[in-house]
Amino acid sequence: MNSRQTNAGDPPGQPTDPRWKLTPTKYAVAAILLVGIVVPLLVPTYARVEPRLLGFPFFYWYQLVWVFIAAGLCGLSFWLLKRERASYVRARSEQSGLSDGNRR
Amino acid sequence: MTGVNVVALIVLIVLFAIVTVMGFLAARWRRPDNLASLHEWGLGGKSFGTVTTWFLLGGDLYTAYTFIAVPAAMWATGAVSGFFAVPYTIVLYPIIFFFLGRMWSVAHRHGYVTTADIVQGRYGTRSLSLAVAITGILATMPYIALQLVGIQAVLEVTGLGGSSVLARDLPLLIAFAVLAAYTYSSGLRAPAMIAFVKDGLIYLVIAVAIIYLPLKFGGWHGIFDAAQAKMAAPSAANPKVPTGIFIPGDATYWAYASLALGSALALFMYPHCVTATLSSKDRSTGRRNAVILPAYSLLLGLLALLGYVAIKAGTKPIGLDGKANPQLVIPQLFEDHFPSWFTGVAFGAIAIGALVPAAIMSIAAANLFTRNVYKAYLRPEANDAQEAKVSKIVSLITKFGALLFVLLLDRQNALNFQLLGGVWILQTLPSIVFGLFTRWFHRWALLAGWAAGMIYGTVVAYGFCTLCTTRSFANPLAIVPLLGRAGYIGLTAFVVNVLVAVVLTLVLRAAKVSNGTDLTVQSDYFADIGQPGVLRTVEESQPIR
Repeated sequence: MNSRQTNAGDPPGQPTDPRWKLTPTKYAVAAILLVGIVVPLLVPTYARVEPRLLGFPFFYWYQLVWVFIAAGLCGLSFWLLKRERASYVRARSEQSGLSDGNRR
Repeated sequence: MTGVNVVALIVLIVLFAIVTVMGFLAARWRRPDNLASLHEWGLGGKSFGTVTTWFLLGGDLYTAYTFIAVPAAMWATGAVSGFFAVPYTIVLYPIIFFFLGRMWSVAHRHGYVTTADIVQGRYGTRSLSLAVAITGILATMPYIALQLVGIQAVLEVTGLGGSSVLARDLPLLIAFAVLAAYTYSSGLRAPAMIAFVKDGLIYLVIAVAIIYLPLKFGGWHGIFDAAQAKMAAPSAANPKVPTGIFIPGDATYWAYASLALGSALALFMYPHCVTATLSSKDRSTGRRNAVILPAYSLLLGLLALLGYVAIKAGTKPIGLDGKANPQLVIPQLFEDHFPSWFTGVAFGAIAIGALVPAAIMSIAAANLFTRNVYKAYLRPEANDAQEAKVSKIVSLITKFGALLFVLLLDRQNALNFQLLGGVWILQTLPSIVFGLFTRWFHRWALLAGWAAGMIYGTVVAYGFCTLCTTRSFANPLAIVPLLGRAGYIGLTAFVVNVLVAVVLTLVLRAAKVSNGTDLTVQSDYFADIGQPGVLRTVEESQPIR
């Protein structure tokens, strides 16, 4: 136990689950979500009064619009990951039974 | 504010009675064979679908106190102290989207109930999971107390109270005893069921308020102009500075953004949010909710603007003691401009809105104590029924502690400690979340980072509060070293925390110090209900050590 550095549950050094690996879909999702985190926090880009909408200063309505955009970005991410998971499940059922569940 | 608003009070009491009955009946909801385990009592049998989770999380995140405090802050000092709640709840969902799935999966696979369980499973280090558990409990207590402050505000505006301590505190004691009783008997099912009523009422009240009140006061343009004028006027306390901030300027950009980001990172480290997340029935429920929960953010944004409506309306939030109290501004606005019966509905919504999170918080804090203090240190051999028993009793003690807090200490103290709790809870993020993605971080480095963040945050919040005119812990902002601008103390402390964790991890890994035992494997972080090849939950009674 003394010098064990790696994940004791997994064999050292190697991934035991293909889903742990970063895929293009995961990079895309991370990028989409980061947009939803970073852009709403760029306060100087929206800290002004004009243009107004229905009497709301820009500062206020712009942020309320971002509520919907952020929800949309999460929805898009959800859909992308769902698609990837479905293809993973399909690929695994084709391998018939050689799954990580049997390892335990 | 003369006398008691009888009609409003009757409506309030009727609504309260309805949810009380529901709370007790909730024990029979999806009738479990046996409530005597933490999975049933403390997580509702992990059976909640997307809709129930939406109401539960909605009732949990957007508390009564939020509904009182955010517009109050807008009314008093404008955007930076109030409207930051909107970007906060915008960036919250993309943030939690990253880790909710993995958190649910590993907890489900190993039967974990709390965040500290997850940390324990990943690092096998009791001191680290104890640090996470204690932080969670400490941060939750003042949060429960604030919910009671929310109920108090409503009761005060209906005219209940006065000089005698008994008249002022008796209604709160009754509300409290009822809450404690049904949480004790029904567990998490009670707030889940009541959340439906609470959210329905809140939506109704806000929809009416947001359409009716601006019409009555000549439209949003005039309301914003009134707010702008008030914020630009010299402050009553210190005529040299303006009252507040209508739109953040150069000096306050970072304050606004860091408050939003820090609060968003911290929120799902709170035990009550994790409890509501883990109670869902499959892996995607949490993420699906990240898509639909923003509906509440919109609600919160509109509600925040009611603070400006109150400026235009000239609302005077004078307490029964004759002093101005911004916390009363929304209840007072409703009482001034709604018919009595609808005021009753609105107050009922706020009061019930306090009960849901208070129940979940006390359950979550109790679970932490039971799993990570009682079972880990005191009685490792405790079985499911004993765990549930201890949790039930501890949930009573937590609520009682919160009650004493509110009754004995100044209300401002609850608020200050809640701010401090937010700073603290954020420091558990590296231990909880980083581990879901990597085992690179070293357990002792995480513990040291946590300690560094806690100490930095507490000291700065206490001592070097540069922007505050009030007492210690009252302001979440302080000048950030190196940046030279005001920022959220919690976020600065978090950066200190991560830096310490990274540097010490490099050192400890180079020195080949043991990084503890990991009970989890990679596939645990993707486990889901009904997936081919995925086993059912690993034996739930399996000890976590």
